[in-house]
Amino acid sequence: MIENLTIGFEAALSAENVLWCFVGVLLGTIIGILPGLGSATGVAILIPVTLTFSPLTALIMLAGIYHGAQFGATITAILIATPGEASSVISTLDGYQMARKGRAGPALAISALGAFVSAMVSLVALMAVAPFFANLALDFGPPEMLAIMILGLCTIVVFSGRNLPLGMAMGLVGVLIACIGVDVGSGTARYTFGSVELFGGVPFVEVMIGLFAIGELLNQLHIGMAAPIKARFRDLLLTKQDLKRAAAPTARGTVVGFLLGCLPGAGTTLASFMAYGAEKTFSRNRKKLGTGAIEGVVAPDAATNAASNANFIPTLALGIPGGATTAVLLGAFLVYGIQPGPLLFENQPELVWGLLVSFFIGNVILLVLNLPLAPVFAQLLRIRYAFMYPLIIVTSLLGAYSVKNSMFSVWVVIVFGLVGYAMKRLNFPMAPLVLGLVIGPLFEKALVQTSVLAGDDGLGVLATPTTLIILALAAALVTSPLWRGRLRRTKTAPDQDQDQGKTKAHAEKGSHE
Amino acid sequence: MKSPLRTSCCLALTALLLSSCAVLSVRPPVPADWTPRGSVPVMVAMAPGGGSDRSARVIAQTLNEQELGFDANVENKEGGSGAVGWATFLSEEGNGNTLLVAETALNTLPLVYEDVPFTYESFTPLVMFAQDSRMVVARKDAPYDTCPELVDEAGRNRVIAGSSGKTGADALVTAELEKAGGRFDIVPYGSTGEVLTGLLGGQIDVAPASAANAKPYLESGDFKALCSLSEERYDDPVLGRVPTAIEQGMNATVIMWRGVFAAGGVADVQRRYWIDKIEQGMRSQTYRDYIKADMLIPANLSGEKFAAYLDDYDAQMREIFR
Repeated sequence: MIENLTIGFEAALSAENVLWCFVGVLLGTIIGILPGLGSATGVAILIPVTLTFSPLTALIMLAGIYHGAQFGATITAILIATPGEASSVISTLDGYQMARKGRAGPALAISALGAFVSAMVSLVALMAVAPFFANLALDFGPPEMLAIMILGLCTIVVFSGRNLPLGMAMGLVGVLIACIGVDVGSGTARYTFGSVELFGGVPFVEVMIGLFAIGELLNQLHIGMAAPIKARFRDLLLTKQDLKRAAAPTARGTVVGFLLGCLPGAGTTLASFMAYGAEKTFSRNRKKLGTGAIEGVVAPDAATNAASNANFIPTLALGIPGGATTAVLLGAFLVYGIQPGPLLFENQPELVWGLLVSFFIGNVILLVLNLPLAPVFAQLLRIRYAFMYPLIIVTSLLGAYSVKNSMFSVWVVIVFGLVGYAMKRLNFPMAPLVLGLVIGPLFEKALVQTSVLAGDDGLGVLATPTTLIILALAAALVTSPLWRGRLRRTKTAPDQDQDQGKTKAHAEKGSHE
Repeated sequence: MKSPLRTSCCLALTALLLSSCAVLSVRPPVPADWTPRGSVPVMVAMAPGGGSDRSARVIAQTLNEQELGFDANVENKEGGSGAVGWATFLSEEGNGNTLLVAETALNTLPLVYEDVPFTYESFTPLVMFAQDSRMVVARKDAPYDTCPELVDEAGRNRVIAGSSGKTGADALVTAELEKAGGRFDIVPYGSTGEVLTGLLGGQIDVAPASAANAKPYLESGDFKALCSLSEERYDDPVLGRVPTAIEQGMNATVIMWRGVFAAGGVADVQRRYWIDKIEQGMRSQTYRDYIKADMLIPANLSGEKFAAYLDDYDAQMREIFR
């Protein structure tokens, strides 16, 4: 381990590599800020630029983009409710509310800080136990994934707010929208009405831009011009209390993100939602979530970062992409003449450890770059809305167009902008819909695969210890409103929550060792 | 703050004007000394990072290296296993200033989904630049060592296979194995990466894999290759040890093509220009490195020959997907 780290530091700490890491992080942040242009596309576009570099330098820069984009996407999500990437959708819930209250600075800063801490922790875990976790992840077949997706759908209960039937209906609408397009199992085109554009389904990023950016903007116009948010300088800085409140959510987010990130295909978006769900269930301030609570900002961001690092576990240890961006990075390996696969750690120690060490460097650069800039970014909200709104509309529509260079995407944004506006006016919860959209396709795929695997066994295929534990968790989550009420009557609730948090963290520690 | 706003508005307006021009204009006759100009979009109907995307980027690079006075830029229009991108490319009819890099699924997709508005004949074939095949891999402790043994086992007991799509190469592999008499339960996955994960985790028993994808796991000893569905063995120290299905006495091959197309109805001078320059690009080191690294089978069929090959290929696919 120490020896490997030395190899890594020697390889990564050359002036050239640090410089390109910096360039990557900076470019990544910009790519993340632009709506529609995600890290996967950013990396794919920039692969040809890096062809003249040595493989390690090239990969370090591309990984820098990956990390930078994560944070850049959060900046716009918090400031103008326009998520730059799917995984930062959840940051709009509390982050944007914080910004409306004049606390954009702390929201951005805590997001950067939480992301940094979780990145560091997950990197140590990644280095220490990558092969172990990679093999553990392999045991997660379709039945286990199905159980995870059921758990995911059950978090709709915590996302629904007061009106549970309405929340569930919105979740169902999300799943239905996700059904549009060619399905995985039989390959039939569903609800496409003869439109070839709809073959590929309703594009997720475009829906997000519509629902959140355009929807919120229309809503603001309806309410009438609000005064620009002028925060005092000291409101732009983190307080001690903020830090205190953020500690536990960061830890929870990191654990949730890391575990989900290990599983190939589960994705960072799911991780961010699950982390928010965990806050809604376990946090001391769960009642305040959704109104601009710092917990709701930091936990999903920590989870996203932990997941994007954990995504590298299957990628480096097994040669299997953990998510969209790591899939592109695996393609890049081939371009540089490196064969990714189970022997990568053995055959290319300098490359692998150099890359891992560069993650550390990249995250430090990201923090140093963005922590001081957080109050500066927050000042953007001082811009008068007469200028701000056209700018948001133009970037949203151009961003949507640039995803696939197609007008269809722009129409999707406009249609879902109207949907988002209607939902805001009617006070319909947004999060269950998004959750349905994210989980719908994953759930369906796992369901189809599981039913093929089951053959004549029927439900017997679900009777593995792992699936049963996850399903039990799901059951506990669904019934939580019932038992939570009872607990509160017998005991003071916060203590109970803390205990649960502790046992969970403890269990996690155990599995690390 | 005013000026960025103004710039963005201007940009949006220009974009709007340009796009309406493209719709309204009537194309003048193509001059005999036609050359492409400005930015030449190289369209690929798959997501960034996959094999198709990579091949398109290589073709674009070999063109740009020749410094012909234009810039080839790859544009990804993914969705619906290629349906979205290819349907969009239909609207480029008559436009010689754009290219399409496509593969086998252009034949198979219209056979599986009848309501797509294109077939392989909608576009002008230029050059087929590579072929690829598939291997059948299993976990190292599987009770069969060759493809005939696998088919035999699959005739008697339950064997679960993975497949990464209804219209891709994996579907052709399972079709060949079933034609030989095996019966498989086929678990659908989203990508080859996911299929191999399933095989590593033991959820499925066998999987089709490209040479480039299979090699690392054969080297590490996690998988064994039962047979290669190529016509000849691979020229590679590891993969060369894998016998072809034909050697094993099974009449089964799976060949996929990768090629460059122009839009439908382009002028003859444009067609000849592109064939010439693409073939020129295939003499470059970039192209040779690509074929070697991705373990593809080099191919070079252009113009009429490529068109005839596609007709043949389509007839074969009709047999399988009928």
